[in-house]
Amino acid sequence: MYLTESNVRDIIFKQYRYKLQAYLGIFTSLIFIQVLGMLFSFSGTGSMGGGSDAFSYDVRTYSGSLIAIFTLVWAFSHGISLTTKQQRYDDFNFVTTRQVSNVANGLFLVTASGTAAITGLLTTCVLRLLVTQVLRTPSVAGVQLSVIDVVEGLIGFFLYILLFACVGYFIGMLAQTNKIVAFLLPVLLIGVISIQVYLGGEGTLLVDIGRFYVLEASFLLFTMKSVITSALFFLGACMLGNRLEVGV
Amino acid sequence: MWAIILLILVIAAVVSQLSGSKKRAWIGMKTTRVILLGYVGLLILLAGASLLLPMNNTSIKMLSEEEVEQSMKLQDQVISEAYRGTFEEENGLDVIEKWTLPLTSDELGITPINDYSIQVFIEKSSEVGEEIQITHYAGKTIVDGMDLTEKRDKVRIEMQGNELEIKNPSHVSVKLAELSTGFPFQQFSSEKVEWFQSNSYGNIGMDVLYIKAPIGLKIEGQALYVN
Repeated sequence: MYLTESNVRDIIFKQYRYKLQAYLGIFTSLIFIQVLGMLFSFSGTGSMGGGSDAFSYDVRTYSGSLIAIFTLVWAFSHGISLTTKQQRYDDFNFVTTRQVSNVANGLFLVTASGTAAITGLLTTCVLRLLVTQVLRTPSVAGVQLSVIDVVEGLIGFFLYILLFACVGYFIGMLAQTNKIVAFLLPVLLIGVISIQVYLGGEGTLLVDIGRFYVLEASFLLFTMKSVITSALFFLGACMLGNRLEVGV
Repeated sequence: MWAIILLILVIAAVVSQLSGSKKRAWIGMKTTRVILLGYVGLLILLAGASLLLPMNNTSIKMLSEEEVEQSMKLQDQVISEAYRGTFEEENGLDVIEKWTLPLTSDELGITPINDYSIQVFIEKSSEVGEEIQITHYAGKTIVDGMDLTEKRDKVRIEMQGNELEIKNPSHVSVKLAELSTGFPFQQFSSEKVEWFQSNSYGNIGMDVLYIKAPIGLKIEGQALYVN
């Protein structure tokens, strides 16, 4: 018999709210990274040119791709940062278990990913506005997207961000379990790429992994791929987290 | 101006937050929250404005993939048929200009000035008298689906005695911004996007001069006889 009865859902919700307040820096760094992406994109994300005796053209492409890539890097790094000892210890300000802490982290990652996807889309729109109104270069819209395309793209972007955050969360937890992993993972990655190059091919490991998701034109299949992968990484991270000693 | 001030505040807030220690942060949580909300509000406002303002602020016509393919095929077809000796006046290429110039002798020299690259096809015809009829055709100039044909300057033709001078058009340089939502918004769109290889292309349309001349006219210069 206790003076205050609390259930798991309440604790998760309290922790989730606490994380939203305490990790406000994650959102300011998101803005910073997206503004940075926009500034880099301002000089064009691609260009092509050509000409003859009497005519030459210079076409610069302005897209939100760089903003998206910067956002994914942000998601990955913040997935890792959630697993640091200091962040994990903060959770024990509440009556909690590791499962509760993981679920709250999961909810926080989903919220942060959703916010990042929406601000990413808005930043891309602002980039278009700046190009047309500030640069004053005659502009044409390349590929015209329908509302459905934009909605699917937004959900797809959210799923990409969540995937990167979950991968970061998993790697962060892996590194917390064993510090050697923090050194071994990049060495392994560079090693495999180097072996690919040594065997006469190209170091395309990351590109090959990327193709699995990026070349998926079916929205449904992409959703399945990314949700399953994110879930696997997140569950893997939770299992690793459960094995951590309190003092680790 | 406000956007720049807000941007500076955001960067300052980020630096403050990333510095790690809450004691050292000179912007409090409340201020950071206000900045965040302000920034998101500004984003929504500007994004809304971007949707209201037209993205295509040029008179450039966008062509579909089929139209681009057709126009490329057409140009190749007209040129290769002309090399085989057949030239149709109604061939589908854009007619840029027509001239009818009187002849002063029974000889005509064709001189492209500044070695301007142009295909000249001549048809000897009994339909024309003491004159030549010239038609300037051009294939479409297309860059990434944008029809830039009208941006080009015209070829100038002058008759100096019995010399037909083909003067090159003034050089035109076009700068354009192509706006794209990019990755990952185009991934599920019906427009096929190749992420791992460039699918940009540019084609400068070929200039063709078709000259209808009287049968008895002696012509010298780089030209092919058709029909």
